[in-house]
Amino acid sequence: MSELQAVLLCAGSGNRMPELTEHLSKSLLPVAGIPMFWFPLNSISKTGVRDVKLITCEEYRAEYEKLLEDPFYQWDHMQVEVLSLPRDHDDWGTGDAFRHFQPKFTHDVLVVSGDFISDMSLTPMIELFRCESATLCMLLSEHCITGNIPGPKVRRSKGRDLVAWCEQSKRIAFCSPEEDFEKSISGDSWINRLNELTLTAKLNDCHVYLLRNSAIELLATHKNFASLKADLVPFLLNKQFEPAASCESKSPPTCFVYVQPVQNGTIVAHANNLGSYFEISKTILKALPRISPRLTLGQEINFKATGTSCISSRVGDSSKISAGVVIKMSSIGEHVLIDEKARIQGSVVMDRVEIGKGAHISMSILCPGVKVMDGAEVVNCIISNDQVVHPNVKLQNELLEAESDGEDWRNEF
Amino acid sequence: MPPKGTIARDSIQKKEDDNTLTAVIVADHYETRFAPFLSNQGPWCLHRVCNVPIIDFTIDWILRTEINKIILLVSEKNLDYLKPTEVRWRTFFEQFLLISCRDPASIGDALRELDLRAIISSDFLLITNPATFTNATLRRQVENFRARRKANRNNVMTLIYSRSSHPEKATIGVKKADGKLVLYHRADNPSRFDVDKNYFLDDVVIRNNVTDTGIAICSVNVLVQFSTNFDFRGRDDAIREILANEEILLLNIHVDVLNESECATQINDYKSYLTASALLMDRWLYPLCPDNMFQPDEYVFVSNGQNMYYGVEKEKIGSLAGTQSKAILGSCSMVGASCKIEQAVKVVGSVVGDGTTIGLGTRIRNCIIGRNCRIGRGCLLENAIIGDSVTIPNGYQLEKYAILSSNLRMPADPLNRSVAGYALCTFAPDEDDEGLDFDRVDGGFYLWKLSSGYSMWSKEVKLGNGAEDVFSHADSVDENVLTDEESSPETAEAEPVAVFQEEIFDSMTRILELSFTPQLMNNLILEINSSKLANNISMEDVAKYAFKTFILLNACKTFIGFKELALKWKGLFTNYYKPQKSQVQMLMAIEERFGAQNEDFNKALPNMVHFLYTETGLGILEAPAILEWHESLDASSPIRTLMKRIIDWLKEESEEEDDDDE
Repeated sequence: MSELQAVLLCAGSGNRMPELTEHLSKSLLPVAGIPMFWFPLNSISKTGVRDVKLITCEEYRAEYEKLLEDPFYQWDHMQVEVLSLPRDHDDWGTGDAFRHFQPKFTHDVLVVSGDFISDMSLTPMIELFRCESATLCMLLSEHCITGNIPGPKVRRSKGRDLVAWCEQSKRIAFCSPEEDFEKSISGDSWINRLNELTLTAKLNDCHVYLLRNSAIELLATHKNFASLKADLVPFLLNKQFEPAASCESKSPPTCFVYVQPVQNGTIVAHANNLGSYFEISKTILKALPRISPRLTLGQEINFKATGTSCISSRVGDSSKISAGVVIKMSSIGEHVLIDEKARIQGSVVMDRVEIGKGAHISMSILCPGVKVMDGAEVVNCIISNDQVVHPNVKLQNELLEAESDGEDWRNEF
Repeated sequence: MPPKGTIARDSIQKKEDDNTLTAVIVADHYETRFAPFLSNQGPWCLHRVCNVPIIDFTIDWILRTEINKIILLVSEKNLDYLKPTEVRWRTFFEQFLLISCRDPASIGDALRELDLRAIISSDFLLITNPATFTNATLRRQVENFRARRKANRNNVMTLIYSRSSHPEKATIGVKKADGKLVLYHRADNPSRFDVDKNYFLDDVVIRNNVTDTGIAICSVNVLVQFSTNFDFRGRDDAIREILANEEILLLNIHVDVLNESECATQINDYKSYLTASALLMDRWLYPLCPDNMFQPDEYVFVSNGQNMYYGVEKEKIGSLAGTQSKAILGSCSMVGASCKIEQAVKVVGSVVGDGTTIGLGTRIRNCIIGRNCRIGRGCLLENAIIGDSVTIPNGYQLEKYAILSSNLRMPADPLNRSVAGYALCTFAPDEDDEGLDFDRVDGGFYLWKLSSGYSMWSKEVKLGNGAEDVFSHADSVDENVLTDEESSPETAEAEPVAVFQEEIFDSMTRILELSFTPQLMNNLILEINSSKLANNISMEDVAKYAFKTFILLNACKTFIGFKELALKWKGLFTNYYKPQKSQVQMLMAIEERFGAQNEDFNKALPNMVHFLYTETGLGILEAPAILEWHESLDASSPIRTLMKRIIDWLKEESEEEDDDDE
């Protein structure tokens, strides 16, 4: 399909999950053993779009380029060009990035966030965009995956979006994150134009947009638009209801919303926060075959021979699992060593982790290089890169980071 | 009487099993708009829609629901009017009660009376306006109401809305999950819809594409609201109270929307009066149709395929013989019994009452005409409401959105002011009627208006500059039903002026063949007026082309013949040529006839003008018109030289007059 270009946004720093993104770009975090951005790239490939721009920051450019040389990241019909933001503009928003690369966008654009993970097809949404001649079409879903967040209980935003849309015409009048909604606003113009509006907080913005080229051109004249989501989208939504200025010959924009129906896809996640990332890492395992035949289900574990059981989990091919281990509802990365009788449940274990004898890991995230010594118990924790949990230590609802002195833990227990 | 009330309410608690639904109908209307038709003519519910009393429709659709108890609240003065209704319908119901209320000033008063008497012990269907029509059986809505009430005793009220493509633009907000009402705006309430964060969290649907049917299912708690708040006038007050004090009262209101296949409408103003009539006649409310109605009178309605209904005597059922069906071209209309309709009458989207006479060639669109009216020939009536026994003279073109109350005799001359959006009556409004003002107009009429400044015609229109523009946007409903006329093939593409001229030439030559009577002249004027309306000719063009045609007649070939006929037909000229503008048009017709080919005519021109001017001649033209016309002539025009003698003479004469004045 040559009428559309796609843009994959991989420059996000992951500031809603700093616990994990200190050493890694958000879009490179592993999900089911592969960097997260592969999933949206796969979704784009299924739409048939040929021209894909991947926007990232200079720091990670080489890494993405290296990965894209792997046939696993290549589709015959699709060309991926990596665009990196200038090094001294790390603080740029998505709007700024689009403005910077504007000459590259010659067509209407499918914008996909690097943290959008789903087995749904984007084609119905493109069809809606096409047949309604929409200026903007955004993807909302009622079923965005989210879950409990391990680590200390911190008050976090619920991440809800407030949306006003018309179920019949699929027009959208308003979309704003709950935190940004302060004083009440007048909806007279919405109701006069659309006649029926559903106001809801159940739908989540998945950060997948279809934008007319004319909308991108607006960025050139509105230099203050730093972000697509926070500036351009609200601008277009409002513009729909403004009486057309006499000097403008163009008709007002029309914004539509594709709400993911249950028939299209079983999982949708916008993995820009810990809860969502943690949950998708575990639940995606069931959907892997549907997403792509390229994905493997990891190594097979023979329960009869080893006494090790692996239920609803994926274990990386190069990991070594000893006998008598129980793995449930977990994702185990590559080069992981798990010693006898360890129990791992509902957790995400990244690459090169070592887990000692009889250790018990539950509902936790273990970052690359973590060592959990024999008999330790880790419940509802996040253990940062290369940290060590000493033998027989019990951790609960903790965030173990480099700054904190591991020695203290042993003394305490 | 507090003790009585308490006892009654205790007994309610015991009778919780009592699951039957009672219909409570408020028989009177408290809408000042309808006052021109309701003073001393019985309650609103006996007013006729499609020649059937409103209450018969109301009870007819209630019969189709599960209700078998009816309570009719009526003001004391109207009680006797409703006795026959009670006799007629009593046998259909388990209970049929007429409750008389002492001088109720509002719906609230009537409901307070009802609560005071403690007659109602179960849930009830509240119909605050008897002119509420629906073909829904409300089965699902009643079931839902009971289920909600079982789940929570405080779910006290369900408002029934219908899907409507012509919204009143009233905005409501309901919770998507259970239909609980959270936002309630009436169309006439200009307050704005402010988006509240809670609406998002509660999944609220805001819509203005549904219309209140005026039907509500209530529990007795709603009556208590009226009794405890003596200032409540209508249902809306109770709804607002319950919404505003949700935290204190803990009562909930829900909204149920009818299916798309179910239609409902109510009459609140004259615009909705027309709409409801059209919907009934067009069978949108089937099986609630005029010809399905139980008629106690001597006649029934029969209809043909174009939804034309005719009143037919009972023994003649099954045939259209004896009806006026041949005379009338039309659709979606009703003609009552014993009407006299002359030929070539066109009736579209209108109701004509019993015993009304309509003259030749009259056209009626979107009107409701009462009983025993006399409508003249060649009239054009559009979008108007006309009461009983109204007389409209020949050739009358009634203004759109006019409301004529009963017993009016319209004068032949047009009124000197616009009546659109006002009501024209023979009497002044009752002094007790608040909210009504009036002006006196020529002919001893009273022009009623609402003190609020809104149009009598429609709730949505405010009178003032450009009111007519607003109307033209507002009546799209009516236009939709009745567009067949414009598309009819007879609207020839020929120039309307040419068609007009041809038509009146035919009329004139036909009359020449007959022996002359003064009546013939009246007929001629009528036919000219009728052609004028049909071809949409301005008054000035009529003046010009009528005379132009006249001097083209064979009889006017010679000056002698012209003088003879002009004197004979003097009536025609006095009718059309009083205004100076028309006289100028007459002279311009002569000017156009002037030419090289007819030397006889050219020579006679000054004589002709002189004849038309002098008292001994026809005496139609006046000096100022002749002078004005003369001014407008080309300097080189040969007419100028011909006319010079007369002009000089006229100028002299007028100077003399001026001298006399001094």
